[in-house]
Amino acid sequence: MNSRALLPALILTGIVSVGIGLTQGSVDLSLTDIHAALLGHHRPSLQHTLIMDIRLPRVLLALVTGALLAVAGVLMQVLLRNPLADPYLLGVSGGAAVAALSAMLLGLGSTLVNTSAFGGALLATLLVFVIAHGRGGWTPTRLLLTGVVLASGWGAMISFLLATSPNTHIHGLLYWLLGDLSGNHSVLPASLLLLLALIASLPIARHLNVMVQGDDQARSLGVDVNRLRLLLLTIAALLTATAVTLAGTIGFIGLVVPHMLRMTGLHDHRLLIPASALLGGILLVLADTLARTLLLPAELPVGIFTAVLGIPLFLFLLYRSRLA
Amino acid sequence: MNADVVLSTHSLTVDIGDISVCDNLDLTISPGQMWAILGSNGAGKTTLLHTLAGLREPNRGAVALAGQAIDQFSRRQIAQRVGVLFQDCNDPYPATVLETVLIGRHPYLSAWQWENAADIDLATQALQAVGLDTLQDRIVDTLSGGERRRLAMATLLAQDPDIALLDEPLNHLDLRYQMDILNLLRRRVDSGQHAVMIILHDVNLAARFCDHAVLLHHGKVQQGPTSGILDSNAIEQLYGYPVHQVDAPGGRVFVPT
Repeated sequence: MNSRALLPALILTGIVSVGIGLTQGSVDLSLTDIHAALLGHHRPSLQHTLIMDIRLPRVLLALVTGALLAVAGVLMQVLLRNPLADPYLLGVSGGAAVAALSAMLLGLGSTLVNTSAFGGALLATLLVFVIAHGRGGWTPTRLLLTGVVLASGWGAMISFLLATSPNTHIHGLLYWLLGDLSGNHSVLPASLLLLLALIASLPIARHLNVMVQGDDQARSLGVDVNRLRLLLLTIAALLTATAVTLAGTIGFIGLVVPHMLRMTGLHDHRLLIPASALLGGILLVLADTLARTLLLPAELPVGIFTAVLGIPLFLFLLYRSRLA
Repeated sequence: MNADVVLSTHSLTVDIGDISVCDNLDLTISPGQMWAILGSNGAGKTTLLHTLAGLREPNRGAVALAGQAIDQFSRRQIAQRVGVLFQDCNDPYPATVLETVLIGRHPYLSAWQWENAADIDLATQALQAVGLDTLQDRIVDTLSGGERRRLAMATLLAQDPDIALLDEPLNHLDLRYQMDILNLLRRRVDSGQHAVMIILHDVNLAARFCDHAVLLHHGKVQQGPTSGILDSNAIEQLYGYPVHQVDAPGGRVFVPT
């Protein structure tokens, strides 16, 4: 597909996926109901409350969280020059999880749990920044090794917290670790952050096309590599911290979405970043719709369905791809 | 600014750990000159090239572009004057051939600018010059080693720097393309606007195509016109292997004994 035609196609798919997310649930609604609710007709009614107070916030939360994760994924894959990189690789989600679980165990309210998660994510990033710099400066390998080692440390702390927690807490803790979009979060701050990150990444996106060629190559083509790396890590950390705070740890989106788009022939980061935001949002909306409708009235962790949707799609593209 | 000098060094000292690459080197490269860097494995040829490109701090001394210290230029300004062809290229997210060549235009574009028709023209011409114009839409990692080398050359041509610093550009190239690339560089230099510095292992090609040479030998550096400094004694000393000089139709040829 022509890479410039991909963005409009993704926007269209995004609208369809939001429509699916809004109509599907414990009570199936028609497009006419959605249309009426969005225009403020038939207020107050069950449909109106269901759409405007429950489904729309959740679908928007999934859309924004998916976009945050996918954009963070692209940035991390360039930052580390590693196709296996995802937003969580350097322990950002681990730091958030340890802080949030500790706050939950201390019996703090949801606002403090969320604040702790955000603080924990940023603290984890800061640790990677400081320790990885050492004497030699940031190189992809140093960042990767430091991040992976610290992430395993956070993993051990999570295991410790789970092992020593009272049984009554375990279910809530696990849901948080597996990813959960049922939290009643306002999506506005996260949307603004996403918008800011997209705007900030546009002028640096062309630098990323050069940076993937290697540090020396990028420098010889006029890129201030250290400054760019700091900027990338900061933006990626803020995006990931926000996503983790909103919805816990949701795997797969940040890793796979950028690759899927690359396999369709999109290589230019000026298009890849906004396209990733769209595809990440779409996948998470669809995965969440499945998670909350498949075994009604039970709700399953959304992480299962990001994999259910993502793995076959990824493998199909990989099979078709010339790289395979 | 001095238009007669593209790149110069003043008392340049470069070490790799305890190993000396050059000590107090004064070098002046002018437009219209093609320099070879010759030396045995591990002599520090690449390190010297990277230092000249401003990618590595010298231990002492300075590098200047058109007479002005290189550290007074921004990265982008340096990239408009100095281009580098690296020994290896390793791209984890390969793009198409045309997209890859277009990154050569990076130093000339401002933050919000996209490549325009003129940039695409330049990139296409660069691909034609290295014989890759029919492969524009191919993904880079489907190319052969030699094709990738020519692609790196095309990217450098699209960058269009005042001086091109090339680290073993002939690796993976067959005889025809070795000659094509050297002839291409020679024509570029002969236009009088550009200079080239090239790391070579083939002394015969250096003698044939380059007018000047830097010989790196354990921290001792010889430099000057190839006609004056490149002889069988110098080569034997440089590589630690005896050679005979033979006069051939294309010029002098050095044959290992």
